[in-house]
Amino acid sequence: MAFGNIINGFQQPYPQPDPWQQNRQPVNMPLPSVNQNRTFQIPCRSISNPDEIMPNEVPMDGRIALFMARDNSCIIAKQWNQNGLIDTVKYVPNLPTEPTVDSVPFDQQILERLDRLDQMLTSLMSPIETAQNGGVSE
Amino acid sequence: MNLDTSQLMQFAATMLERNPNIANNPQAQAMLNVLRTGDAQRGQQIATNICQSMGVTPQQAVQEAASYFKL
Repeated sequence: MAFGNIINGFQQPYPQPDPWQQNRQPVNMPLPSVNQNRTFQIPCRSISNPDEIMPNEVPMDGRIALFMARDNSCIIAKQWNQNGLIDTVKYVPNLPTEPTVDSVPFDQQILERLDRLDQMLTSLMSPIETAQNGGVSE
Repeated sequence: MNLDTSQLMQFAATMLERNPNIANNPQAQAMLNVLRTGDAQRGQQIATNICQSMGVTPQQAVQEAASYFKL
């Protein structure tokens, strides 16, 4: 068993039956599958600058590593690809844009526009009225 | 019993294939494929890319590997 562990480089995920104790164990005991109860941890840490990510922080076992910017501006995902290079994907938050609220209410805008029209009409009518008044007075 | 290089590589590939941590690793699968096919050019390309990604020269990588395995 120890030789198998050395060759595989990893500990067995489930206990191997001891050959000396084999007679005491049920024969038809099903072996648990390899992936059973296997936790999948994703390495993750916060960064202040993407340049501070070192290549050895990306695991070479196929997992993806996540690096979150401290200012919440982005999340960078890194993973080794099959060519021996590190693929980088940058996720940027898509924040909803708030609708712009006019500082001046719509009613107020209408009233101001009516006032401007009123002033313009007054300025246009005043010479005519003056002329008419002058004509009447003569 | 003397094994030639191809038999040793097949033996290593078979041993690695049986490791579930490698069987589920796409990067390791690419390297296993190199072992199976004996595509030295592809293996060298992957090794060069890894060295480039890690920021070391191939000579430094070989030196570190030899030191790690006490060769």
